[in-house]
Amino acid sequence: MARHWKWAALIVAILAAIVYPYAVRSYFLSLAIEVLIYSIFAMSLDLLLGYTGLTSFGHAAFFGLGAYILAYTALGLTDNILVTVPLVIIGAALLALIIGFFALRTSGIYFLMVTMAFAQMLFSIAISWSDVTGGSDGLAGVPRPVIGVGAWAYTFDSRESYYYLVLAFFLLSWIALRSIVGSPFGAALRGIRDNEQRMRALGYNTFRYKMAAFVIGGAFAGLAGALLTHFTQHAAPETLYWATSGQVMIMLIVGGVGTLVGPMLGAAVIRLLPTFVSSYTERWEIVLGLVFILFVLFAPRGIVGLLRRAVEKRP
Amino acid sequence: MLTVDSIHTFYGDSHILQGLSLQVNAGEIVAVLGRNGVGKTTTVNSIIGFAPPKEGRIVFDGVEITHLRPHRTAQLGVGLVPQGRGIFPTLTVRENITLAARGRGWTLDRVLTTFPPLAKRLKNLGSQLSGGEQQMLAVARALMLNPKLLLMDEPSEGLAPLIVAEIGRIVASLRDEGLSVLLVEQNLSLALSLANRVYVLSKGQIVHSGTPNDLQTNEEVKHRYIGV
Repeated sequence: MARHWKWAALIVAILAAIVYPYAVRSYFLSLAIEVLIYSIFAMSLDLLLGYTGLTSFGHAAFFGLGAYILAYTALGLTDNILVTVPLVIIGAALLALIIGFFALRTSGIYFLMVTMAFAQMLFSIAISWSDVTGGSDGLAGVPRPVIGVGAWAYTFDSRESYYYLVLAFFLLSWIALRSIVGSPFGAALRGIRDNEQRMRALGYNTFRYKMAAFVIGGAFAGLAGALLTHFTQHAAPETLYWATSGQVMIMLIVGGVGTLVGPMLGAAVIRLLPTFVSSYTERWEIVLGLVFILFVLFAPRGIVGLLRRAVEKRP
Repeated sequence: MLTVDSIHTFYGDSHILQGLSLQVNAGEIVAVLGRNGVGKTTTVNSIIGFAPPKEGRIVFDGVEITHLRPHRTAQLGVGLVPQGRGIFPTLTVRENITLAARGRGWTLDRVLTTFPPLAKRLKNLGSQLSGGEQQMLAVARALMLNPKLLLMDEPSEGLAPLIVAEIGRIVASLRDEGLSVLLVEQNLSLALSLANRVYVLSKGQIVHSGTPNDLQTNEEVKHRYIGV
């Protein structure tokens, strides 16, 4: 019974997402694009934090690197996403390999600090190496993406078309991450989260598994950063800033850690809240902070946890 | 099968194992008995590699494993049933078992035949099992590694006598199939009924070794080192 409801809800959600651009004003379409992009970003962190138990506070490094690689290649090389997106994914994965090589030797608070330090290092490079990165202005004028094979090409120049592109990437990312966490590899990651030492005693080289998770998470975060850059047509140093790492972690905690639906809900709440609250008060950040504190105190499993509790209470 | 040769293991500054030596031959159950805090779990941790000794050697199946990392030692064929069961609470029973699959011999079907209660619980989470079921799961998981040597750290801890007897019966049948077992216990009667040989541990050293019968009749050793 519960399974039928899940499928029904999923189909309704996908249909709603498909007709959504016809139903709303373009402003709400922009919000939806951002929510989808941040959902990919938050899901990618959940693979580390929720499924592997790696509390990374430097996830912005991959998001921002994805943004800059995309801006750089789209401005100088090609705007064809069949070229740019693979480059972004490879670039972000390589960065994750380097950061992971050092950070994964630590754990807990030290891991958190090392990952944050790496992201802040990239941020300061982005700010100071202005010949390449555009300094604090970032790289502006990024064109809309094109998909092209041979002579055929399509440009995602309308907001509606870009929405569908992002929706497609979002669905692909979700399906990919779902398959990963449900696979034997995913079970090994969850085993490491439960107790890494026991996994070692079962013959698992846990460092390699954590590294694989870190690289996959980094790659998806890079993809999210690239999608945001095509949308805002601008790669900004803020994408690398620690506050970006903090924001995605808040999305995860508000939505529900260790579920892939949670990050989506969290991304929606945290992206939409400022929009609605700021029409009442300029100090929307206070409201955001309060929401976060309330969740940590009273709903540590996030929105998903609240929903589950509500469903289980029903007779 | 396993030779531990005068190892010294430290936790920080404290000198836990002080020249401990023991041996497990192929196809025998060897029990290590002793009170709390004498180094029983440290002995297990030194062998598997969680707490490598600073001095001495550990040789398993002709390979020196003294400083091997735990996953390498496990891959060589050392299975661990950790103290306190140590199942994965958020994984399903099926995942707990299949995660450990390595080599040939023990399969999911075969462990479910050996431990029938687990068959009904495959979709449950590890945390939803009773203590006895968790202990069976911990043994089943270790067997999936197809080990040559099984390290069992206080498997009877916190279990009802009936379940302890059931686990003991299964361990004996595993030995009869050729598995070697190092059984670390506080439960004297379980150890005496299962083991081929017994070591008694005190303050990080072996203070007595012999057959279960020797120990059964040695009131002084039992009284001084085991507290019976």
